[in-house]
Amino acid sequence: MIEVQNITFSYSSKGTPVFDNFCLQLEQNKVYGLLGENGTGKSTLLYLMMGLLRPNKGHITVEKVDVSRRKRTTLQQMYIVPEEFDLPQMRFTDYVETYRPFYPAFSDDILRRCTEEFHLPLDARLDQLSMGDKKKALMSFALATNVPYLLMDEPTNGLDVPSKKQFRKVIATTMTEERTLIIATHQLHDVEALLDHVLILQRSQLLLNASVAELCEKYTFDVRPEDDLTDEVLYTERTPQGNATLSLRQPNDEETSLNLELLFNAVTSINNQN
Amino acid sequence: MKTFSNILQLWRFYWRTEKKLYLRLFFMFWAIFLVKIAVIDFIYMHADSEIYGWTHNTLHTYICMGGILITVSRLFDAIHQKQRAIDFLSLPASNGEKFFSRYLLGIMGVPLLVNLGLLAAACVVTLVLNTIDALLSHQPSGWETIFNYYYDPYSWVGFRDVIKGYYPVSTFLVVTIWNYIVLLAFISFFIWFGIAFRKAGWVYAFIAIFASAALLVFFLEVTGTGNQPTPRIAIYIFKYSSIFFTILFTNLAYHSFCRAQIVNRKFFTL
Repeated sequence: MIEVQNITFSYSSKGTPVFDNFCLQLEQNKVYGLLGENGTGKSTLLYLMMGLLRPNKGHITVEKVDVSRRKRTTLQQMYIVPEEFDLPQMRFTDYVETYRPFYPAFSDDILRRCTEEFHLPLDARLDQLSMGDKKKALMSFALATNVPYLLMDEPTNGLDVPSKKQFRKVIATTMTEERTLIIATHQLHDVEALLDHVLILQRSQLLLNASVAELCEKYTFDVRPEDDLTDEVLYTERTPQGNATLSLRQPNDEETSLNLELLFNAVTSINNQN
Repeated sequence: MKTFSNILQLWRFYWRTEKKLYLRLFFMFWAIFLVKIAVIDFIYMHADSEIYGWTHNTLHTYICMGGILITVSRLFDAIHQKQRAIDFLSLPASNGEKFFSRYLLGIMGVPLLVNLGLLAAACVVTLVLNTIDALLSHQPSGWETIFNYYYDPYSWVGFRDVIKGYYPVSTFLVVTIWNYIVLLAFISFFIWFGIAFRKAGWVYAFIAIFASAALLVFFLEVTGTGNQPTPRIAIYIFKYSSIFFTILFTNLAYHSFCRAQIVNRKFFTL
């Protein structure tokens, strides 16, 4: 479990804190979507969880160990795919040979499956790959490390439409019971189908922390005509198809699938009104 | 034992990912030595031996020390650039393993490489110049003149003096160990500044050293002790304080490394 305990963090001593007395608990075996507009602290939170940034106050622990100590055993359980990264000038096979000794649970089988799905040749030179292919290479390696906590910052940025589909398939097929995936993104449609749990950040505050099951049980996401906007409708948006609505689910209502963009807009707009 | 094998694993990692940087540094100093030996040493080779000896030793020490200190201050450059820092700091190895794997390179690997580079450069230049000399004048000369100086880069009791029987081996060893301890204090200081400052830590380190030296000279002048011979106790204090400063700077460097974060601050990494 990752526990964020009352952290306060700012990039400079005089600056406004990015987080102020912020708390969060992330359980194992789930896919978390960390959602928020640009500059809300999504990446900062991932770096804090990895121990790459140090909170001014409070602690972040992974399996009860303070991550800011950057212990080998803690780092062996975590991997971060940053939004921007540099890969060394070498072949992908050499990259794997160089980094894999640090990850005892590394799986060749997962690596093979990922690279096959991404159509990525293992002997490709990393410095000659496109940005999207570099990202696929890093994500393949990240998944193959088999670490219990995998953190991804904007994983679909730089991927074309077919690659985004491949990404979803790869994540869905390689997720195991022992793994927790935290995806920080503002590309809501790209990850909608993958998530078990939604976290929405705004101005460094956690506006929503709920499981997809819980959300779908309590709320209905559907498109309604103008004359059907009843009292239970909490939020509505005009779309070419009609009014996309988020409403309280009534006892006889069928369960609907999550509309992440609608949920995000509803939560942030309700918060702005308050 | 486990820590040692982890450090070996990190060295393999550095070699694979930073090979070009190490080779570039090695060949850069090799080139500087080649120019220095070829130009300055060759010009002074037949000059007055006292002037030659002083110029040679001073230049030699400055180039060696400068080369070693600038190189060690850059050993932790990986933590100053965000993407490289994410890669390095999130690599599964403890702070201690990451720090000491690079620290050991700084206190042993770099001085060894610089000296090997120096000896190799001396050999190459001497051979080339002697061959040219021999071809032109049909009598080789200068081989010993250049080469012998490179046996004793930092020592006032040189290896060639031991061979010639001027000093016992034990004296040579004691002097060499003390020289190394003094060098360690400087290396630790430069590593600390290299970690703490985001850019050009070695520049700030040199400024700090020159400022301290200037203060010391000012103090000696004010107290009127500047022209007197250095008392024996001062030499002892200097030697033994080097041990203290090595421990102090190594500690500061280690703690600075443990506190390093991926923030793009203007001056400091901490």
